[in-house]
Amino acid sequence: MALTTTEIRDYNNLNAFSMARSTSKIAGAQSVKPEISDPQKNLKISTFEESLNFLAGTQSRLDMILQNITTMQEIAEEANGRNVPTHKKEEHFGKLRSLSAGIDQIVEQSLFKKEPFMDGRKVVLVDSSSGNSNKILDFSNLYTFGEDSLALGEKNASAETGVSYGFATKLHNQSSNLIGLDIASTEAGSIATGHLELDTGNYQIEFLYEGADSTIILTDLDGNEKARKEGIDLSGDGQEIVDMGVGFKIFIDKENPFGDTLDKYDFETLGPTSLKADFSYKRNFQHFLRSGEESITETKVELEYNVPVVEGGSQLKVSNIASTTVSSGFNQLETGKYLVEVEYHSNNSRVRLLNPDGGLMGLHFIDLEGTDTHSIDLGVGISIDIQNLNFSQEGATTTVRFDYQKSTQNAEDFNYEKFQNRLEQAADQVNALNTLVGDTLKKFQEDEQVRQELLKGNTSSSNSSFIGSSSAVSLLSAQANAGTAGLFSSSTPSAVTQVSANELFLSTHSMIQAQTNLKFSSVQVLSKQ
Amino acid sequence: MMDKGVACYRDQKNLAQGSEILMPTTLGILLDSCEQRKVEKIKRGIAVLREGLDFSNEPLTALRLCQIYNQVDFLAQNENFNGIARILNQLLSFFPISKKPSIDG
Repeated sequence: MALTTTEIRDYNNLNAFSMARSTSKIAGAQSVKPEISDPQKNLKISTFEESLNFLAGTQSRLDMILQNITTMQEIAEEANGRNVPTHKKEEHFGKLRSLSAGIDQIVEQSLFKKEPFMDGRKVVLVDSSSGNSNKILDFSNLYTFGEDSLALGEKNASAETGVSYGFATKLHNQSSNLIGLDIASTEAGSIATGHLELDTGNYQIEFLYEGADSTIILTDLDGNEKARKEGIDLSGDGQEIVDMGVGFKIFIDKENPFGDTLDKYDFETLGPTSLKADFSYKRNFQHFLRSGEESITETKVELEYNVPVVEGGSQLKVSNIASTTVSSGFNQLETGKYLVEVEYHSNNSRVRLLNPDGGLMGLHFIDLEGTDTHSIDLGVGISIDIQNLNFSQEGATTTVRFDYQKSTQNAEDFNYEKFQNRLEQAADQVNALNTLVGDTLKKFQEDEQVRQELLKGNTSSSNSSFIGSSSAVSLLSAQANAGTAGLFSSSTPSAVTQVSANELFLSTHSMIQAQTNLKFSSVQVLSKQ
Repeated sequence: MMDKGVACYRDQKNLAQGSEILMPTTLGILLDSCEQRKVEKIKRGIAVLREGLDFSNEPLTALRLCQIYNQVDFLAQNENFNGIARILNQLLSFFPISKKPSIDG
């Protein structure tokens, strides 16, 4: 089915198909990964009935995953064809994003007794109704991201932001005489050192206008201040980008209708005024497709200025700045302009990474003694080379400013051919697991059938095969519930009388199917006795 | 008065001889036998149902039914007719047609 232009745009929005995130991004600290549960923890299933339910339910989930992968293979093949127009590639890309995120959703929502199991853990099953022995199934990680996963995507910590104007905010702004200021957009930003990332929630942004020395304050709905940026130039025309340092930045459009002679608002005469906006912040993990071994978040780094420090014939300068992979334990820099300051203190020199507002993003120590080129990886996706030509002046500082662009995914540049290989590997992985689960289920059923045959007519001799009348009904109700609530739903004896007509039909149908060897002649004989 | 299960069976026999009719019919016969406290007939009826199981179509359900039948067999042996009736009624509740048997054939 073809997607509309709006759907394509929505599907390719980086915040589409994102996962909610509760953990915080912290500047320069431990990196944030999607909150999948601890796969080291084994899932132990306590009864044979549950083991059968588990296997049957898992098979259906694996089939769903496989179906998604198969559809993705078809789409990737189409996208990889010759002369595919850009809009068509965008459509294919959007569909691939949707289907791969769908796999994560299936894995995330596949729970057995509220425990996930498709995230790479071992499942211990009971392999007969006697309950005497166990079978261990080793599940691979079926998420599209992470270690030993299907390796079809990546999840990067980010945030979805939004600006709106509620009634009270509109009322406040109408009473202000300030014109020519507007929030063009907001997007995820950095976390400055010493700041905490905003929690998911609603906030208010206030612009206290004082010309070139204005202030932006972020408060929660109770009025508690969460962030403040002072000395922002909101006068004149143009665009101002303010990184609040708590996880988002604001793009402000400035327009002065009075030309050069007057500012948009005479705060010196009339006193400071303010404009407000309602702001929402939602922590998330953005969903990226991964086509090959290369990182999908390759970056561009462009030097804007580089000021070497010169002392007579000696010199200290940053000779090179390059993008690197993000080190474990660090978060990648967001797109924006940054400063690196190198302060010379011989073998204890300091390298500071600052955001455009001067907020400290990272501090590193380096030995710059002697004539040499020293390299340092700042961990956040940047490495710099510092060249020392006989420089030895303590406390002198050299500064570079650079533009860092974190690439977004592009349907046109995406390597569909490599992605097809990954899809093939993923399909093999899921198929292998599906076969293992299917074979195990079949073996369990066959063994149990033999066991039950042996027990026929001799039931009183083995208490282990008996079930109480309430549990007998619960077995059926588990089946009755399977149609809508999933095979993993818990059931109670009373549930059998509460299930809907549709669920009863499903259960009745399966009972009829399970009883097809019933002979008319036998029933006839029985009725006459 | 005619046996309730037999009446039900006669009513339905012209419609089909498939398990969708035979199963509730057999359950009906069993329920009648339970009311009449006929242990041996219950055991024979359970044997008919157990032999009628098909593990190839719905193995999971077949297995569950087999265990339920074993339990009914056990309850019959202990003459726990209330327990048997409770299970049979619950099984019958899955078959709306068997809830309205014609008493007089």
